[in-house]
Amino acid sequence: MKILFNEFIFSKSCDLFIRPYIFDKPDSLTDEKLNRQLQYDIAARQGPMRNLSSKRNYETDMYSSKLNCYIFLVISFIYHCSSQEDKYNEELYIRPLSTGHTYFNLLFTTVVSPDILKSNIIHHYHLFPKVIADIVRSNGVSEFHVSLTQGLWRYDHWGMPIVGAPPGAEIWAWFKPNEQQDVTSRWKSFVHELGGLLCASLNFLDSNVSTSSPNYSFRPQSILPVSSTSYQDNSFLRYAVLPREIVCTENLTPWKKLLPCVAGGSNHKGLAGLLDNAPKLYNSVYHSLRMDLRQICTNTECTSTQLELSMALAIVVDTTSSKPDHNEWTFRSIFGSNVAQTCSLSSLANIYVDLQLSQTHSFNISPEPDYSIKQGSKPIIVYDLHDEKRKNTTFSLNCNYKKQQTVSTDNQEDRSSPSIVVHRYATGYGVRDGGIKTMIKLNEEQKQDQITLVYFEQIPWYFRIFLHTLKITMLDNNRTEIKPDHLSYIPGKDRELPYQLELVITTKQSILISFELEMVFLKWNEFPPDPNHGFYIPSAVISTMLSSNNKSNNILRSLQSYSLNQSLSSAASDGFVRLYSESLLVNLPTPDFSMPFNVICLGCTAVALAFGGLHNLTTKEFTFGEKRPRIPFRQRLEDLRFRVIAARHALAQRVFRSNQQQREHVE
Amino acid sequence: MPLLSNLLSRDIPKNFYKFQFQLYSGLFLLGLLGFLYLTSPIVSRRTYLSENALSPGLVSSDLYISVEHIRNIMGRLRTGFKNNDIADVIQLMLNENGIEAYKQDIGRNSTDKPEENIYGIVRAPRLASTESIILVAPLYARTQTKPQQNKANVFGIAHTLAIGFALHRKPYMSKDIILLFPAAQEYGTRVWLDAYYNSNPQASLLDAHAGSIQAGLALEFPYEKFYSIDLRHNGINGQLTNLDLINTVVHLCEKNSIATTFYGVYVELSTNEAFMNYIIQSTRTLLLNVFTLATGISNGVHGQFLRYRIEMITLFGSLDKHHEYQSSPVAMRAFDDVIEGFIRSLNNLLERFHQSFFFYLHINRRNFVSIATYMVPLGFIALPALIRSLVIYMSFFTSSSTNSAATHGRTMKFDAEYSPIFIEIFQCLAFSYVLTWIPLKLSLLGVCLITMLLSPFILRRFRSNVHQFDHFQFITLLIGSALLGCLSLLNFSMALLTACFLMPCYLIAGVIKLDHWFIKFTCRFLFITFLNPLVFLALYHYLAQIIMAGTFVFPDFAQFSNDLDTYCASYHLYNTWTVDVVCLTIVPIWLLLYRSTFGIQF
Repeated sequence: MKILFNEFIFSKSCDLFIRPYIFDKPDSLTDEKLNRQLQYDIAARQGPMRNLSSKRNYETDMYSSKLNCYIFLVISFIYHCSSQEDKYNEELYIRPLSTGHTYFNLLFTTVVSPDILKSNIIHHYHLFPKVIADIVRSNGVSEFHVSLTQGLWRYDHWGMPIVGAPPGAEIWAWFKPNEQQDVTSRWKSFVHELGGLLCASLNFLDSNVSTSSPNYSFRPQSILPVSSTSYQDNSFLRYAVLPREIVCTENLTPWKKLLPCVAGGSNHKGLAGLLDNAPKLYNSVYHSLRMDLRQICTNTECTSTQLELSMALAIVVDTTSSKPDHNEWTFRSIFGSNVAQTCSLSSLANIYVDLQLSQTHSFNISPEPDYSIKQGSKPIIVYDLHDEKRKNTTFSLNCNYKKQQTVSTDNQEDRSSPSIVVHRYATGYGVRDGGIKTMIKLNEEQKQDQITLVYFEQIPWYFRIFLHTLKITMLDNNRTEIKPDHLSYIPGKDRELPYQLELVITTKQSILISFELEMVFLKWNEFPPDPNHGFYIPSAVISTMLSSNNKSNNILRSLQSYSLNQSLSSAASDGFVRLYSESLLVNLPTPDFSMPFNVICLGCTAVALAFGGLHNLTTKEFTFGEKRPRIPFRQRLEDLRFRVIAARHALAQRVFRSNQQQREHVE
Repeated sequence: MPLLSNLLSRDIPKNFYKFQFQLYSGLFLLGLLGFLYLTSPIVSRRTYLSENALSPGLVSSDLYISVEHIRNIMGRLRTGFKNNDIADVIQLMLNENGIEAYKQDIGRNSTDKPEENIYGIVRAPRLASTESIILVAPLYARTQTKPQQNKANVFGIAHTLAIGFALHRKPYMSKDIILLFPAAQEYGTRVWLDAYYNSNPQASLLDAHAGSIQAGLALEFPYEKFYSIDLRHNGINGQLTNLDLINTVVHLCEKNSIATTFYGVYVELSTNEAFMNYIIQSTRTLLLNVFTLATGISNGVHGQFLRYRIEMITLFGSLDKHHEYQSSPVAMRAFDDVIEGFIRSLNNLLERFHQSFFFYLHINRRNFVSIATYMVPLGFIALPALIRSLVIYMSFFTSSSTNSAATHGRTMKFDAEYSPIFIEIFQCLAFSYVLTWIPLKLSLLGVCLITMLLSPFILRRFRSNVHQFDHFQFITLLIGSALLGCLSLLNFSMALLTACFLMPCYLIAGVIKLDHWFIKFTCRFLFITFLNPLVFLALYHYLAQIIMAGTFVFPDFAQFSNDLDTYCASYHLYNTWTVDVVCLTIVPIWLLLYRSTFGIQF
């Protein structure tokens, strides 16, 4: 009954084709039992279904052959309804890096029919996480990207990642036009819901204060049929970053629960089994969780579309051993576990090891790879976990490699430098004036042909940037200024809007972008609890297309699919990269909060004392008055006596008058 | 002022005029004594760690750096220094251990070889390179005995490197560590900082940065062994490091039983030490504190960092033994523990140093005087100037009310001619302004002597009457007290010394309405000789020499002129404003006092 997955699964003619799950079956389990378990599994995972199957399901307490047949019919029906085109790929991409680190990228790609986002019917979600579908549907999101990252990807040493990410949290979303609610309120609720889902403080991003809509940098990733492609206005885009965000296991746990093969507890199937030991994953130099949802074409003609949900975990681990120039790692040393079982829901479970270092290092990898492919000049070896011979066995990978002494180092350094490197830093002396400088370095190979860079910077309002100080010069020669092809600048507003700067630059040389800024003295209640820590300026984003014939390019994701299988099979990569610079920590002028009492007391006393005198001095004119004539004591007594008499008289009159009035009233 | 207009001079008791001189000099002396009293245990406070985040790093050490490893590094460094390719050697060693290393050309050729700063960055795994700690080991360190002589800082560099290697790839590091090896001490450091912060438009671009630098440590070890550590914390223009940072280092040193000193003065804190000894040593530390801070230059490379609000001190390996039983030098292991503990404390810090004190004077390593206490003696010293100006001001009313019939309201109607007064002030200022430029060109001493003595003759002869003299006094007193007020907040030590100089000047100048020609002549002679700024400078230098040596030494004029010359040559390098303050405020006030006092025509 077990049938291997193949590409033909997504051909449409599989109406009667029953696709069984491949469970790791204990011997005692009968087929009926297995099916029943499967049924429950689906019911639990997908919630309400379109037909009545689940209701029937719970009644099946007896194992009768009739019922068995019936269940099979139900399953076939479910598949007929929803899941003929669903596909789930698991991939692990491993690249040993020249610094002694190793880059591991776990990729989980789910492709489903876009019908699940339609709101008028009850759905069977199958492989797609229901929560995500709910969030996306209710907020009218057409595509989104979210990443949570700890550490910094070192482009100059490690080359290009498959998908880059800035330190902290990054999120952007395109919203569907023509919905009832406006984009801002939808963005707010979307971010809140996603933040709750991932246990990240994304709720700080909801307002306009930290959100912007770039013009050129974040175009939609969806690939839609030509007919429905139209230029989308950037008012439907929201982009926000949170450089302060710390990523930890509390983010990983909800994230991995969205994967199809993650069961309760820690008994995950397939490559998701590598996520069991969460603390191990955080013992890394770089750690990045990512999730992308978009639409892609079903076929090359692009007559219909599919939803693609891509989730990835990228880590960079220091794998040097105690011996010099010697590296070694195993799955157990990196992830704390091996791949125990394959996930039968996946249609692809591949492990790729990129041996770009093989020219300088001697590798020793066990077990033997299934096959190898060549991407450009780089050999890549592949392990297919769905292979027949690996069934029911634990898969583990051991690798050790050593630097060969024979190769001269200088030559190698040059060749492996990536095509484009970004370096950004804060400048300035004192707490009032500052500046930001961004170096964009191109390597020799890239300098041969022109490159178009889109530079995007979103700066919080408390750093006031000045456009007139913007200077783009060559890195080698700071006198030649370069004029950007396009410049889009939205000045920020205090407490309302961040500064947004976007440049499109065409260049053949390394460039230096610099501008100056002024720091704002915040109100005392606007400081965070740790004001002396500093304030973050989010990473700058540089998007560009690298020329496809560049030798030093690393494996990048293709625009067609997040799944690496596709980018490896296509001969030339699209070369689209998005680089993130360092985020900066800058100190704003901070009052001494540690002794507010002293400050307040002293300040108030000084003001109170000075105020009276100053006020008198400025408003009144002082003159010497006439001296009063001296009145003798007897005279004063006399005066007093007269006053008392007069007062008594007046009182008596008043009493008399009121009596009279009362009498008139009575009469 | 209407508020004060009721206070007329007739309200002042008659006896006050008689005892004015005694009162002023009494207050002055009270201030001086009060300042010395700061060393008493009743006034000074014991140090403590205000920032709790610093404490966990003080507990245990985790690194093990073998002595062989350090000896090996030192051997390689020594050959590097011998072959004059130390920059390459350090860079190679950093690269071998997987630490990114860069060079910066500082382009100053003292001989014919271009000099280079080397720096490496140990990247921390926990953070995205937003914050960093810096360890500085200048390639050459000044020796203890002869400040002009430089020796290779092999020990300091070796330990900096060893710590960097050991902390590389440690999972708990959350701040990058910058290892900086500046070539030409202060100059190299300044060039590197200018480039790092790009504060100077001509600065070259650095290849790598590591976020905002939080704090750090500089290591200067001219000898390959040491018996005690001298902590140097003087910054530029009287800036000081945060007290918490110093306390951390002192605490770590005491834990590893390394003796620490300030200005080479060791204060024994054990109870069986004689109290008198404690007081004498503490007073020495206090006075040295004031004397060295007043110059405005720092005593190590850390001063340049304080300018950028990077808290830092210099550890200097000293050959002085402070215990009789101490026979062997400090173990390397103990020293490494100090640096490791320091870095781990800083690594744990979430915010910049902002707690504890920035204004303090050290009595010894465990006691200090805070700003609230040490301002009081200065207040006493400066009080006579304020009282005197008030008295003069009040006397204006009586004198003017006799002249003009009525003073209406706010309008002050003193019948004084202002123009000669202001012309005189401008003249003196212009003359002093010329003085500021002279030290750059010529030897300061000769030129100063000539100008000081010639100035009365060069400038137009000044004549004033008694009435104008009062106005003059009033204005100079106000300028003086304003100057003291500003200085006391910027550089307390300098303000104290300025007050010690200006107050006697005021006293002599103010109370000289002397009729007898002999007294007048004597005072004038005193004023021009003993109260000459230059003489005061020499006196200050001599006193500092005595206190630094701890015993009596004879005045050495050659040393004084030599020190003055080196100071003037280097003060621009440090971004100090001491010379400007002296030349633009203190000298003009002195000149004004002199000319107004002795130019009166009766």
